[in-house]
Amino acid sequence: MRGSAPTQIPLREPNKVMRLARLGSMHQCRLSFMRVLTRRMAREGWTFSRPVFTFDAKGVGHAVYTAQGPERAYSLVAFGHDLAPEMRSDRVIATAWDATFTLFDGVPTSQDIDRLSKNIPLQEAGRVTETEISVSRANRSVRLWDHFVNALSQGQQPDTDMIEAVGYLMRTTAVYGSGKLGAADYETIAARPEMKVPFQAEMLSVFLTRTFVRDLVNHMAHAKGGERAVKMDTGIARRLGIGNSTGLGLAPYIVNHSNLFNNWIMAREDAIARVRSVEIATPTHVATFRKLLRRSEISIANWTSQHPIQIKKLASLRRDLNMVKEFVERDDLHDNFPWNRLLDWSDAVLGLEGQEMIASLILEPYGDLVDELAENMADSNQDAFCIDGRMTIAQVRGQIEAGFGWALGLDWAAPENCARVWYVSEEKLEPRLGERAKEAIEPYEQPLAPARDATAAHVAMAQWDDEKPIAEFLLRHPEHRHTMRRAQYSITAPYGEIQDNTIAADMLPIDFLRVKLAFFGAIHFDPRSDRWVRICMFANAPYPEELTQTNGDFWVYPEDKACVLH
Amino acid sequence: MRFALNEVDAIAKKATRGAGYSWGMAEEAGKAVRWLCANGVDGSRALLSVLTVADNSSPAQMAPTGVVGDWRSEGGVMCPLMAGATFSDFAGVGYADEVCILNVVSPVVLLPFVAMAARQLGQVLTVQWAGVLATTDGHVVSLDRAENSDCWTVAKSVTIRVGGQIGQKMPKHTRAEPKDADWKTLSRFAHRTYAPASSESRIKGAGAGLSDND
Repeated sequence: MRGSAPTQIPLREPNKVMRLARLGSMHQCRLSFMRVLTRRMAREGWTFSRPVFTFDAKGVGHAVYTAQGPERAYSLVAFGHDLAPEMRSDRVIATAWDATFTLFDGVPTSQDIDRLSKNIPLQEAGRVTETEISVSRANRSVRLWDHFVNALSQGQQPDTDMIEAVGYLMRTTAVYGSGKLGAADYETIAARPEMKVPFQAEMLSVFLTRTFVRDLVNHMAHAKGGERAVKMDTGIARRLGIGNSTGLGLAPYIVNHSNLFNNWIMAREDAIARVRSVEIATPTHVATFRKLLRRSEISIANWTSQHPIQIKKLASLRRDLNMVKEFVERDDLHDNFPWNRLLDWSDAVLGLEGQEMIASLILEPYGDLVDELAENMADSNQDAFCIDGRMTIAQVRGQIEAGFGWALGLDWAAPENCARVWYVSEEKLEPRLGERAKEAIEPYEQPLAPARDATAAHVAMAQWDDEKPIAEFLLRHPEHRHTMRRAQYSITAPYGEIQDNTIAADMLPIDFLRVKLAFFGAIHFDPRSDRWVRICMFANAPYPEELTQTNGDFWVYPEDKACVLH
Repeated sequence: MRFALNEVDAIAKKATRGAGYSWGMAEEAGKAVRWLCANGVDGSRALLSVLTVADNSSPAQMAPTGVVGDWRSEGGVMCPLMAGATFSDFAGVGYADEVCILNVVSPVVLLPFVAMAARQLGQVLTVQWAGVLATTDGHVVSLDRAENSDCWTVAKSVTIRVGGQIGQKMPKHTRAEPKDADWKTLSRFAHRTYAPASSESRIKGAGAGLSDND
């Protein structure tokens, strides 16, 4: 383990970290999947090419972008469509999009492209094969797309204020992987070093999609303006990310993959504890932190939302940021465990947004100390699924009390405690959330209330002897099987369970989405209701042909001219 | 049609829930069918045989009443998911060297659970019913079938014992190729877990809020 310090400061407790309000205030960090990807590609010297790019003036056509790594190549196959405006929707129930994509394992032949052209544009209604790793789609931002094409076609650069207000030209509305629609199962790529960290294929697909979008808008501007047209300024291009609209589908994911979720949270908590345990910070490390704090200010200044909840959180975050600036002005952050001091202080005075922003930011100078933790973020223990029937009633009871002690005394019949029902609609299988008392949806309820179910199992176990193996309990109570499995997981995955009521009347689904997207590396969370959110990905990142080891890491923090990181 | 193993896992889980099993058992069914398909057995067909019987009975009626002596169910026909999960649960707890399970529908569905038990025990286990002999160490499995032997209907008695010699290993598969009709029937079971569409649900259920086309 290179440059590691003995960890002295313990990890933050699960009952602190796993509250929904805190998870819903998480920020990206250097373990986020986008940043792991760009660091790796820069370090390994990946090369990029665009062997195919054929589009008409309306943006109909297809392109191939190939990323060549040390051992393997991956290609984004992109299809452009002429979408009627009234067909454009970010929701799962949409049936047509401005652009559709697949990440192909290798370099596709013309026969592959022919086959894909008949399936990828259909998305869920099409089928793919083991050579495809992900399937995704994107819609244009109505506000920016036409403005860009018009301005560039007339030889002008687009209005930068408009760019800041939106942040992207296209937003993806779903990125399917792991065998969906017939694509390769995750297991078939999991052993590859470049795919070991979660969601690397999906992140690569989005990284290449951003390049495609830039190229397509340049192409359409040229088709429209001919000789008068200019190419998008590279500085403007850099500021553009790829947007994304995410709905309720992500919320079940983190509940249903509690071991995986644990590994993400635990890696970050481990990283935070390692940095808190640094007794003396070198001047270089402190300088890096101070520079990135200034660059964070730029990013946070550009973060806007119309949603009342996020408006309030942003006001709190900006207040927090000012207080952090004051703290680091009066503190040299040099000795006596400076990062631990900073976090202890932030716990006492900042809001959750500010606390989590700082917790992420202190990791930045310490790549040598924490980056290796990304390797632990996948869920590779398939045998964990198998219930060990030897566990005793007392052991399971203890696990439930440790994780869900707060829930055991709750009145689960009270309307406010069981107000919501997570379900899947037959309408294109869109995941939805309903009101238990008002809609006839309870028979379709998904098992997404672990705290309620753990309480029920705890009650059922009350009459059982402590020393009985749970094998006997399960023979009589198969209805508690999923809860027993989760209790077993929690022994090795202490950060796997959300420690809040996931069906409460005041539960906010956007909190689930926020934490998952923060681990992806998203920024500028912009809730559009309490159950779907828009984000920005790869804004300010270098484009493939610009990627170097100098810019492959800190791009997420926008630079201004006065603040260049050396 | 060819399917990813994840797709098979997902449809099996939903279909099993749709047939009235608990979520925990539905998760077992997903993994079990996936295991069968990965080992070249038509897991969709195997599960469908179980769910068709369960649909006319109930999972509780098809569960083992106990683990002492021959394993029987209340209703007569034994569900291999319930029996299999019980067998795996008791692997570490201990049972007789030889277990006999009576009237098991689609007995091939026991194999993934026996494999789980074998992994827990670190031992080879052998499963036998009329004309069929399967042996596994939890990682690979051999399946010797007499001509006209049957994996899907009810086996009068299935024995599972410690020991045995793994014969010709079943080759591993990364795709499943269920029969179209079977997949459709599984999808019909799975469909029972989806809420019917309503205009209120369409508007509110996934978010409404601000425009999604700007």
